[in-house]
Amino acid sequence: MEYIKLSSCLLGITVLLTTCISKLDIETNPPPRKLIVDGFITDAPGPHSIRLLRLTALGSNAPNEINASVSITDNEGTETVLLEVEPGKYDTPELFQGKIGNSYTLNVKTISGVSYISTPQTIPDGPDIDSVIFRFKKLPSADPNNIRSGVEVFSQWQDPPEENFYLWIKHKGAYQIRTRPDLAHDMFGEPAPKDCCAICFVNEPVKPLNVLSDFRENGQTITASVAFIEDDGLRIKRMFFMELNQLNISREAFEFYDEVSTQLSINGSILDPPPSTITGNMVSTSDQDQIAIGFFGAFRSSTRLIEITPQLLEDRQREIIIEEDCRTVLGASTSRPDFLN
Amino acid sequence: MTRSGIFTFLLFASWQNFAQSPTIIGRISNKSPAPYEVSGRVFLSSTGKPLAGVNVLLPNQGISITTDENGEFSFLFMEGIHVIKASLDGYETKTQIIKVLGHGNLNFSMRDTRYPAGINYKSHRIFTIGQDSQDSIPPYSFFGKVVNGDIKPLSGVNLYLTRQEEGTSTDEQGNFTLELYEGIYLLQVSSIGYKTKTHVIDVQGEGTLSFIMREKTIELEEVIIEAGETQNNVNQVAGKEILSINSIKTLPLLGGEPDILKTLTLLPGISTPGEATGRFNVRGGGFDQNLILLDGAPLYNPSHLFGFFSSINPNMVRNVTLYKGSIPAMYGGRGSSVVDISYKKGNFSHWTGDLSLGMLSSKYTAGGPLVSNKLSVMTGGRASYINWLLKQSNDPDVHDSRAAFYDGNVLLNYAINPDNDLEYSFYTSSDSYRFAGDSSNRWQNFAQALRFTSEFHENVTLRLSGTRSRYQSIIDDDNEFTPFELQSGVLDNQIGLDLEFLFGKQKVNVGGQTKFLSVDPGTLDPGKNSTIAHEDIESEQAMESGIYLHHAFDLTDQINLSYGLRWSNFRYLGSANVNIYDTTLPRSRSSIIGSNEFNNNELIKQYNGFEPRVSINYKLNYNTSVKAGYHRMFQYIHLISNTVSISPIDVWKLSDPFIEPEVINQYSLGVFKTVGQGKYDLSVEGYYKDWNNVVDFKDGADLVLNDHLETELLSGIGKSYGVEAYLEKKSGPISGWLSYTFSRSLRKIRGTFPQETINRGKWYASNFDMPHNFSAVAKRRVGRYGTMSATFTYSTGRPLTIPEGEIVIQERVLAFFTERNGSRIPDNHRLDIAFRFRIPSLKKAYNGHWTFSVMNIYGRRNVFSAFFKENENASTQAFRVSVIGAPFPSLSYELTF
Repeated sequence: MEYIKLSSCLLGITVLLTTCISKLDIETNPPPRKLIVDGFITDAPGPHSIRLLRLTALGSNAPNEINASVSITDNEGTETVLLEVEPGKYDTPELFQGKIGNSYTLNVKTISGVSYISTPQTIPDGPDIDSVIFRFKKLPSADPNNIRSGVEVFSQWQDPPEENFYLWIKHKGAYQIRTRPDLAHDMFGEPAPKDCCAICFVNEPVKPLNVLSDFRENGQTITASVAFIEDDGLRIKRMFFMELNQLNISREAFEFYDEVSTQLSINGSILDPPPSTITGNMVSTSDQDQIAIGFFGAFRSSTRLIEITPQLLEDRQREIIIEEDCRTVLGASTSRPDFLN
Repeated sequence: MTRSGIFTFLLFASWQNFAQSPTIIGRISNKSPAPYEVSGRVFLSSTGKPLAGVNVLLPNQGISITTDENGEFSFLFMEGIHVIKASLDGYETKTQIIKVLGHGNLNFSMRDTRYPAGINYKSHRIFTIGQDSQDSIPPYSFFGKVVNGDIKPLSGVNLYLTRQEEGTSTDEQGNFTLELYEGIYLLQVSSIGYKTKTHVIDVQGEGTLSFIMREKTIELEEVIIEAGETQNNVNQVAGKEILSINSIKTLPLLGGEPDILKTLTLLPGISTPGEATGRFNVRGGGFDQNLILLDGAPLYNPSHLFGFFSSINPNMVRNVTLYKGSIPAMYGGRGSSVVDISYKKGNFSHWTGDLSLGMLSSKYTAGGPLVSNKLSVMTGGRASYINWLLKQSNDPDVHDSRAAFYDGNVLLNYAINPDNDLEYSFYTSSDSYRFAGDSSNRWQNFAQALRFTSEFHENVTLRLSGTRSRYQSIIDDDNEFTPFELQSGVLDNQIGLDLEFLFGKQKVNVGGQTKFLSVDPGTLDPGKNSTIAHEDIESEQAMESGIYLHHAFDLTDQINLSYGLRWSNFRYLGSANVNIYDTTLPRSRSSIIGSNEFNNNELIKQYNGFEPRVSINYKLNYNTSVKAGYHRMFQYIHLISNTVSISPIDVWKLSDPFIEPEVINQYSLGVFKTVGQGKYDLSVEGYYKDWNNVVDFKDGADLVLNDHLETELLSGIGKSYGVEAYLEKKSGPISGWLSYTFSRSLRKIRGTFPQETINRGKWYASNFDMPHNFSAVAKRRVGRYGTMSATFTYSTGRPLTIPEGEIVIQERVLAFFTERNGSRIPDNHRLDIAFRFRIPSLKKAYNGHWTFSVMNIYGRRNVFSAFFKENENASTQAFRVSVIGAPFPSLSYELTF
């Protein structure tokens, strides 16, 4: 049984009240085969991906929906067929590129003959990120000899006052590491130098669903926290690369992803919101009882590459020297990440 | 006899000879041959009752004898001087020198050492309380009532224990309560215009004692003494529960803090959705359906620390009255219950107080005369030191978090003259907490009450009151770019008039209240250099009024009838912009097609209705009654909350053109019985309740700073029903009660559109539907100064929305829910124990009560909540949160001065 202190959500009272979180076994019935639609297109060049899956029982892998007919039609009557490039993943052609102001509809027909359609999604216009701000930040610590620190990244833009805009800021990161394979040891602790490799790139999987609105800051210069890159002795030793992908999304999309984000944030706090049913913008045209979950979006996209240098660190964590082939580090490879090419 | 013994005896005899002359037994003229029989009797000096078991000793002969049940003894003596000594534990030892000349008698009077010396007991009548219930558990509840010569209750009468230097005063109904241990007490009863008198009370158990105070020069006299009959299960109005604060203190405490509201949940029909929430539910109703009155002023958030503790200082409280059924017509505005908490009043002649030290907070009360016999004050305060504890932690998340609370009370009581009384009370409470690196949250309550009571006619009492209650919740965020302060709150101003007519055994109350309500749904103020725009959601204004008539009387010797009618009126007022929605679409932000603007105080919407109340008590015999009740309540204010605990983002919402008032009808029927010569109370009561316009929220409702909150809310119907069984043992080596409730609380929301429908329009369990609820409370006396108590609670787990499966969105796995409240968390049960004791000491500072308690003694990990989260295997896992997941000990010390 796993016990996790709930200190972040129940204050220090937890120390006194010995609050704990543990796994709970709950029996559920086998779920109905509801279709899950997840993906979006942008005004950037393709391919753009739509994933089709099926609702699955807790703890099991969602089965892919294969061999479905998937297409996108726009308000000009153009239909684009998506091809299944891997099980459950349907891509637009590379040349497919959305247009700001055009609206797009996703059509899905499963192999069982059930048809689904999304509500039309218009690619909205919106502001671009004007600048990126970096702040060195120390995390709270009761131990003065062990203070975690890093760089918090903020994006800043001037929000147009005419109407509300909604953003989804995605980012991915990578950094270069240098290890010492020449100092490697074998399993008995004997020196066993390796020829390769000393220089790798580590890709960081990032999954935050960071959707924002200007609802409270309409017309202002908005500064929003995007990411915190912790200095672990490796990441910001040389350079940390980050691709910020800003998507201008519709209000409908914002509400959907915000609700998903809210549900993901539930962590057992006494202030947690209750669970809610996530629906989306897909409906069945052939059978009203067939419900699809998920959202098809059409967004405006802009991308910016930023670099986080060691000079931003007011205090540096001690460098970690890895006496091994750099490819043994989780997420590392000698290939340069695509977004850096 | 040894030489030293002889020396001692001679010394003793010579001193005795010097100190007192020997008592002559027998006459020389009647002299007959020795030995002579000397017989006698030992009796109690204060009452003259014979004392059995007294050891009567002839020290120089080494002979002793014990008095029989009549207190009698006899010895044979030779002629001469003899010493005779009588002793008994708890009584003053008596030694007498006698000169025996012949047969004769000798009587001893012995003083109970419990009786303080220096009092002429023959001039006092000694009242014995609880003579036949000597095996009940101390401290004994000593209830009483003070009335005047016309048998009208007298409020503000001071009852002062002169040796203990503590006391109390009577409430509006002339009632008082004292919690006393065995012993002799000198009780001084005083009130302006009445003669002060001191009475000797011999407390041996629980009981009641009432006084009649004759006006002006007429002396006080006592009329009723009933041992063991404190609360009459048979006679009391249906649906009414009274708790004395001292009985609450003997129960196990969390962090050493007695908790009034949590104790209520041990009674039948009352449940709580979790261990760390201040919320409680009465007969299937929501928390907001409980009207919590603190000295007449409503409290909107009676919790400290999310509900770990209630925000009411228990030492300020005289008693707590809960109405869960047949709510009298004087009360209105909430659908399920009334919790009427009354303060202690300051003594008019002496200062009294207490001090309590707990593990998480300390508190005090102090009260006494500001102007002798004219103006008294009672003050109380409590403050936590949790911040200090947090800072001791090495965990940065704990170390950098903050949590603090305090509350304070002042009660002024001004006796204008014997017929007129003015009372003012002030209450404030404040909470603040901050998770490390997060926003700080604060909430505050302010409540004031001013009440004028006049007995301007011998049969009529007028009560004029004004209350002001304010609840404010504030979230502060001091981040670099978007610092802000978000405020919301409720302001409740009320005036009320009540006229009470007493005609023999009939009581009629006529009156009314008008309440001005202002709800601030939220104001967002940007901090310095913040890019956030100021935002102010329009405040809601309303006037809620009610007029009533309530009549209680004995229809026959067997039937007591209490009925009333209340008419309530609610006026939702401007200024406001009321949205107009496209009725062909679900109500949402996008279906707004216009708005109507209303000026300040302009009527926007009005609701009104009659609220009949009936309670009938049919006594089948002296020990058994059948009670039936009905009430209808209108509720015009609703707590919109989507968290389990009381939280700073809860929103109060008035009824408006979209949200109609909740209308609740409740029917109840029960059998109540007292058996075992008053030792046992037994009852079985059933109820059925229905709601109209019950409010629930949509999935994913956005409640913060929402200027179209009606788009997030849904309205439907509800029902609850249940059976409550209650058995209380009021005296004996073990006392306590067993309470079991079977109940259901269901809702049905079927809107015009699927988006406005929950669970496809079928009945579903409300968040606090817990069918089986059982509690057992036991207290046992341990030694002369200790009480051991234990509380066991069991309840069915509350409803839980469980996922139908899991979905993947943007590579994140999350649970997919459909059926609201379709399952349940595991059942909850817990055993708490407490030991309350006193170590007798001549030094007052050490003569207080210690309470050691252990909550959750067998370490049950009750599920407070359950949630579903992505785990390390990229799939969804169910987790449970247990708040008190292990035995939790606490210690507190309470000193009365």
